[in-house]
Amino acid sequence: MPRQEDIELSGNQKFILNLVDRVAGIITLGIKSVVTLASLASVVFVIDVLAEHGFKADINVNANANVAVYLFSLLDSKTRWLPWGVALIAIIYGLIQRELRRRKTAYLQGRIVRLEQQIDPGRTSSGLTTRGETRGEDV
Amino acid sequence: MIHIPEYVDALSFLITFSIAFVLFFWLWQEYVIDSTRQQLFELRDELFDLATLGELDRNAECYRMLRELFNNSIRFAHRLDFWHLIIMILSAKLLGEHNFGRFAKHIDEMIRSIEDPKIKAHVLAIVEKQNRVLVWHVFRRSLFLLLLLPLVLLVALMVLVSTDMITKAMKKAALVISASICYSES
Repeated sequence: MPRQEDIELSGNQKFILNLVDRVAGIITLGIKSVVTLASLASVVFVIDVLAEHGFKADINVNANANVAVYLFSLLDSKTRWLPWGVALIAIIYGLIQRELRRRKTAYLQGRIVRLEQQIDPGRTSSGLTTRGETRGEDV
Repeated sequence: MIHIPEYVDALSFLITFSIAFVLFFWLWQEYVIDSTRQQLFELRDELFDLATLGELDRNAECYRMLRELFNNSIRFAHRLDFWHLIIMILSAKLLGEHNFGRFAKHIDEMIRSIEDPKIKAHVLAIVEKQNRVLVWHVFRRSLFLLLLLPLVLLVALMVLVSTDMITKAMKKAALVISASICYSES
């Protein structure tokens, strides 16, 4: 039978691994934030350019370059918006279903824990919230 | 003179990209984490039921360690992804830790020491299912691995025909994943 100290990492090793884990998490979050911000900035930039030229186009009465007309023509096309509309409804439906599942988890888990503790008083927990979500301190 | 339709196309692409980004890195990730946790809860309950039937001793080290392994897997599922694993492996190598999977190996040894062959086979099946769930979890969360899927499938098919490399690779990945979860701390 191996000794406990042979199985577990030393305190120093655990500390470094946890540190690396946290740093990796921060870097990942940083990359996601940069991509999100870059996307938003690009959207703002493109809208800005379009708005500027749209204004000029109105003055020049150039139908081809009129952004407002072009965008309205996109909005007007029902076939273009149909897939987006269906996708949006599907996402909202999914989110509502998830909320229902979490409420159900919160509703059931109290009884399950109590019953299991009657069978096993030393029962250990996963440490999630009552709704089955990650605890704030674990994020 | 700028080409307005090109800018509108760019705007359309950016909006689509942003939506896809949010879908994959937020909604999909949360779904995968919840789905993995649910599968792990089911396996943990299977182990609990085994003990309730008296087939496993609840006070034995084997049961307690497996229960802890499941609890940690459920709790830290949100931290388990492909890049975290790569970074974990690299930092373990930098630390000079060559036996990273020893905790998982120890659990495996304890399961194999169960005397009743039927119960041993049942517990081993539960742990193997857990490993599969976690490997699948890492795969589903990684855009890189998902994009590589067609290539991986082709190579896997070729390798599968010739060797048992995939089985060995799965076992190794399971060892690293178990170790990474065991050493996670809040």
